[in-house]
Amino acid sequence: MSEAELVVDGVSKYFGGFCALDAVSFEIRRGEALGLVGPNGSGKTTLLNVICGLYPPTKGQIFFRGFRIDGHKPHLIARAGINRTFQLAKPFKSLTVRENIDLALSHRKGDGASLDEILNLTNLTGMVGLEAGNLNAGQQKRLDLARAISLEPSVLFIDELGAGLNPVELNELAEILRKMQYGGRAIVVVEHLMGFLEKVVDHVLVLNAGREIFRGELRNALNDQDVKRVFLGDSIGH
Amino acid sequence: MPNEGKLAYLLFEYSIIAGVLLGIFYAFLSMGLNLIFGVQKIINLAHGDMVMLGGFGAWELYYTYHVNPILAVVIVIPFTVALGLALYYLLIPRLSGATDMETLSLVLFFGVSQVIEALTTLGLGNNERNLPINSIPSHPIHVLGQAFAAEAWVAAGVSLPLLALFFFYLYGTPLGRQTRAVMADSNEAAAVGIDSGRVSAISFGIGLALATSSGVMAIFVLGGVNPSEGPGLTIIAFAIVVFGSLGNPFGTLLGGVLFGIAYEAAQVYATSWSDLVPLVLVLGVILLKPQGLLGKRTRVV
Repeated sequence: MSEAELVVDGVSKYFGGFCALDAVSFEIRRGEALGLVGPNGSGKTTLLNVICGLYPPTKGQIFFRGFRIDGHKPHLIARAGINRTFQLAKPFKSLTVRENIDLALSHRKGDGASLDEILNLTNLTGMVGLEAGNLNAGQQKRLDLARAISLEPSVLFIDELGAGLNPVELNELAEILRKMQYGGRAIVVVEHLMGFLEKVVDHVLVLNAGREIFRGELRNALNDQDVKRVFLGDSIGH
Repeated sequence: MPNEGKLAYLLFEYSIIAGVLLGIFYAFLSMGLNLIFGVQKIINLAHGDMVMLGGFGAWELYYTYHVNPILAVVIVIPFTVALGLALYYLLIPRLSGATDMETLSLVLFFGVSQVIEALTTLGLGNNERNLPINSIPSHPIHVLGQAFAAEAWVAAGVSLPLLALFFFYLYGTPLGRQTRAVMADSNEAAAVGIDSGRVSAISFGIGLALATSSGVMAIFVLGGVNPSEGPGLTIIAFAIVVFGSLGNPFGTLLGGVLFGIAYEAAQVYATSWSDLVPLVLVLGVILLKPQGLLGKRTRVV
């Protein structure tokens, strides 16, 4: 088995006295797709923010290709090869689709997909001249994704990309993510929508109140008592 | 002698033309405040003090080194950018770690404003400084048969190309596009590899430079500068920026011009009320369109 691309080792994050993440660990290799699941407030987005450098971890270490990256600035982590989309897609609205993607391409180290290839992959061909603020919700999310992959990340975090999209747009996104996975990227998908997750990932890490409560295959998670209790309440879990 | 109707029309015509000239200058004076707010989401309460320092700089350059004030507009820019970078790295990284950065920044820059005023008073005295009107072209310029003060034309004539240069930087250069990306969202900017800290530092320097270079013209438009001038100028600039839409450079341009017209109209029709114009603009826009004239309602997906 290949070396892990990203290793998260016992990462905790406190905001004052509040523990948002409690000793979370996982690793992911190229070509793998992992689902990161949990109810609201379980720490999923905080974990992404810590890995991507927006917050330093309170405890623990993060390694990318063997190099420790926790505490590094977010733009350096993005350039190095870990990137993300945002739960609330906020493309640079006064910039065109092309300018949005060009900004990312200008910071890419080495070769990678061209602008046309990125547009084609994310179904944004024909919209290059439009201001991002004029795109609809699904197009803005695809632009967020296009910008994220422009830096050719080997680890890509997708933060609730499916929220607010219709079934056709969800299928479109699932198809795009599968292509990326087959292209050798490691993908971590943060998502509430189980139907969408089933199309993209096989394994999940389930968090609750900042702690890991399950790690394994998605179909087993759906039958796990702790996972059921967290998502459906105590009466169902017992 | 013109009849009443003709006189009213001439006064209206005067207030519009004089207002546009004054408004271009005030848009330039306010642009730095808007840039710093747009990039860092902090309100630089020392903005007016930087304008005042620009006026003192012009005075010093004229009397000590015999530098023409129009040339002084350009000379103060690199010095202020350097000062801005030093101030940025001294102050902002400490603020960035705070949980309530916006409130702390208000307190901090209020303090900076007080320090600048106190040091200027200690070093240069509290007398008003002005420059001889013949240090810039001084003949009134006639348009549509009416005479307009030369200093208003010079201030607008100097402000306009510098505003054009600023807009070219913001919309036509790679660093300008990065700046607009950070203005939109610094976390998203970092996710496309932009060094938000570097862009913020440069923007802070440029924002202060816009303030000081407008201060060189302020010494003519305001009839002189004194160390306690800063807070009043900050209020006017803040009113223009809020009126146009916080963080939107085109909003500041439009807000400045409309402020100029409203101010000149008040001067013509109700002189004693003219100082209320900035407050009326701010209150009006907050009540009727809180996002500003060019602001859009926020919609997230």
